[in-house]
Amino acid sequence: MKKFLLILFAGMICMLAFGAKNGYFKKNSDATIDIVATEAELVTVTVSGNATIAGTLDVTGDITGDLTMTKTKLVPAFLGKAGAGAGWVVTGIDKGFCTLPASKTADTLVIPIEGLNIGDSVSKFTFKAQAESAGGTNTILFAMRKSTLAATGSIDVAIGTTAILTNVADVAISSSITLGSPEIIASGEALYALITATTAASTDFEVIGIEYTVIENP
Amino acid sequence: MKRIMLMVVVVCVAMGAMAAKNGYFKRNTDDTIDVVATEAELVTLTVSGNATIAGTLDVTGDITGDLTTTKVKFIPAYLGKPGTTATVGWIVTGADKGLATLAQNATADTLVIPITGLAVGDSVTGFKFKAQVDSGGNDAIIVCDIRKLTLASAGSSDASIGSTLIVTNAADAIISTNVTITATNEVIASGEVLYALVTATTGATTDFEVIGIDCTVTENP
Repeated sequence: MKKFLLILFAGMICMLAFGAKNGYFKKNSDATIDIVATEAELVTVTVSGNATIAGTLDVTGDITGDLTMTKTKLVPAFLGKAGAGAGWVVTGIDKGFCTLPASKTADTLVIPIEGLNIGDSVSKFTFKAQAESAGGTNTILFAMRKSTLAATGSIDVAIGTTAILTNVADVAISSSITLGSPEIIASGEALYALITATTAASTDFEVIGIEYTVIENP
Repeated sequence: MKRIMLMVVVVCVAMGAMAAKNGYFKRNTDDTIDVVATEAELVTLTVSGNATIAGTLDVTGDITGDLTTTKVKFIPAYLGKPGTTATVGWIVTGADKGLATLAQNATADTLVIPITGLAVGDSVTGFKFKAQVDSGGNDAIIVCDIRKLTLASAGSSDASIGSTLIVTNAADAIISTNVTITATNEVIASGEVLYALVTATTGATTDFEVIGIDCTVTENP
């Protein structure tokens, strides 16, 4: 009997050693998978499904895969150019922003939205600007537009716009456009901001940039 | 005897099933790790604590999480525009090359290059200025000043976060100079924008070409 118990015990040890390999993973009740290492030399992990990382995954080497991340990216206004309604100053100054001086009417500024990839999902834009009042009134309107390549000329549509903002005092402007549904960037599409502003005497605008919320590889 | 053998078999099967969990991973002879599913439901891999992988993580599906990566991003000088001072004037258009140039006999001419590719929360740790000087036997001077605009109701505040002065040594040369930022790292907040203010003076028969700026950034630090 003792011999059999000894064999049984040895068999259990062998099975444990065989089953554990260098670690194991197990499915939890919420259908997630926990990985448990039994050795420290975890060098390369290949996952045939999806990976969700609630904590920190520190990879010294490369990560190969389709990474989904949400970011708030910055577009400097200084990338912009004066539009058809000229007057915005985008060059000839030693600062990285665009300005509109006093006494301008419906002058336009065009800023390309850089940093996007095909397949990205964009949901929100926030315009960062400053209005100088000097007791006068000025107005500014922010619009996001999309150009889509077409044989007869690119199709140009607004995908979102703010209300006209009227300023009667010096103010830092942080005005957002939240899209009704996310804009998924397709090949042949480009986004840009069209800013239209009017200044009274002694008033002016500075636009420093646009922040946008994007999910990469949604 | 048969009863005992049966018990051994049952226990071994039970132990095997328990040890295997829903799968296992094992180290191969080439030091890679294979994750082997014993069930088909391997849909999501969750790391609830921390995990360190010294090698490669290869995921066929999606990876969802807050990825911290350090990159050196490149900002082309061609995105820049001439600044206030243009005794000769930086040339950023009308040329068939993707760089900014300043011809001879200029005095403190300025070029403004917006720092693109940043996101809110990014941590910037350094810049490297990339340019070239044609000497013609004379010295030339160039300064790369990295500056930060911060939105404010009275007008954006504008401050230098790091600068470097380069005096060329009377010879054609590649300029690849670090711009050390004042803080250990500059964490980008909402309402902030960075730009480079490049100021250069050229002697007779000297000129500069600026191709861009390397920006070392940790995303999601």
